[in-house]
Amino acid sequence: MAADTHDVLERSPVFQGLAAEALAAVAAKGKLRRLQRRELLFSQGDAAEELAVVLEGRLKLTQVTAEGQEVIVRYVGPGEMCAAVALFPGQDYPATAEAVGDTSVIAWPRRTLDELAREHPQLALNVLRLLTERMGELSDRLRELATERVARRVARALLRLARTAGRRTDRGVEIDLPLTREDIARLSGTTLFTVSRLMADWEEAGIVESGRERVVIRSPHGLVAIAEDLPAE
Amino acid sequence: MIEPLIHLEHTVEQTLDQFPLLAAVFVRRGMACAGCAMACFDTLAEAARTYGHEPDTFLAELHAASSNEG
Repeated sequence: MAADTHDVLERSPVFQGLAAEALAAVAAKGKLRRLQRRELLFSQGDAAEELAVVLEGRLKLTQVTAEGQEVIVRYVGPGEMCAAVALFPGQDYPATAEAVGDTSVIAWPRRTLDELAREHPQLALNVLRLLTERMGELSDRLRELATERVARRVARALLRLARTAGRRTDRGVEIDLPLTREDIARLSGTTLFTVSRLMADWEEAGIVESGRERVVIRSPHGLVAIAEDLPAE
Repeated sequence: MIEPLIHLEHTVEQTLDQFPLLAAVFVRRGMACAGCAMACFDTLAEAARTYGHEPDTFLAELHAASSNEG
């Protein structure tokens, strides 16, 4: 196992609490896959065969509605898992996973996962905990979609991205992945027009700065104030 | 001399992870920093300035509260 692979897996919540030998044994049974930007790891509706953990880069998980509208479910970064549905037979991938930039993942087929979960019950508990956390996040997003006005939803989507892919720079907190206004609309359940209008307002107020596929949060507090409906200063 | 554990250049998250009870100081000053998504990026100095507080006074208050906590 390469040293950087080992580092990512050791820090990953999927493998927390596993002894070093157990982690090495689990990693040795995984298959390394390298994807170029825009390459698909799996497609929505295909039979789910493998659970994957991102080692480097990022995956974008999307779903397409019956009307052809694309929704971004979430981004998966280093150490995070996706396609836990592959643990059980007869399931389809609920979303499509596309590499945002050059990305490598380690993946385990179901039969191997089944053996590993029996050998290392901690692994199964970790996956269960992560799925529970994900359900909590999805409930939050459902509530936002059902009850919150769109500015709050867009602000929250940007904050979530900053939290997982943010990088402190001289200009503010830069979201370190290529991100178009259309992506932001697909993440927050609104239209490109609305996102463009909001981003223009926020740029004028000095809250964000955006260029081609790039967003910098110039005033983190300003964006939190919108997301949380804090009183204006 | 003992090195102080709370610095203006530390992030809000770092500080609150170390001294969870200091959240009370933030609340008292009307600062919504505890649990904030950006707490891992903003330093104590930036958070103080954002809310219009003088950073050194704020730091002194945090130090006082942390010695009570310890």
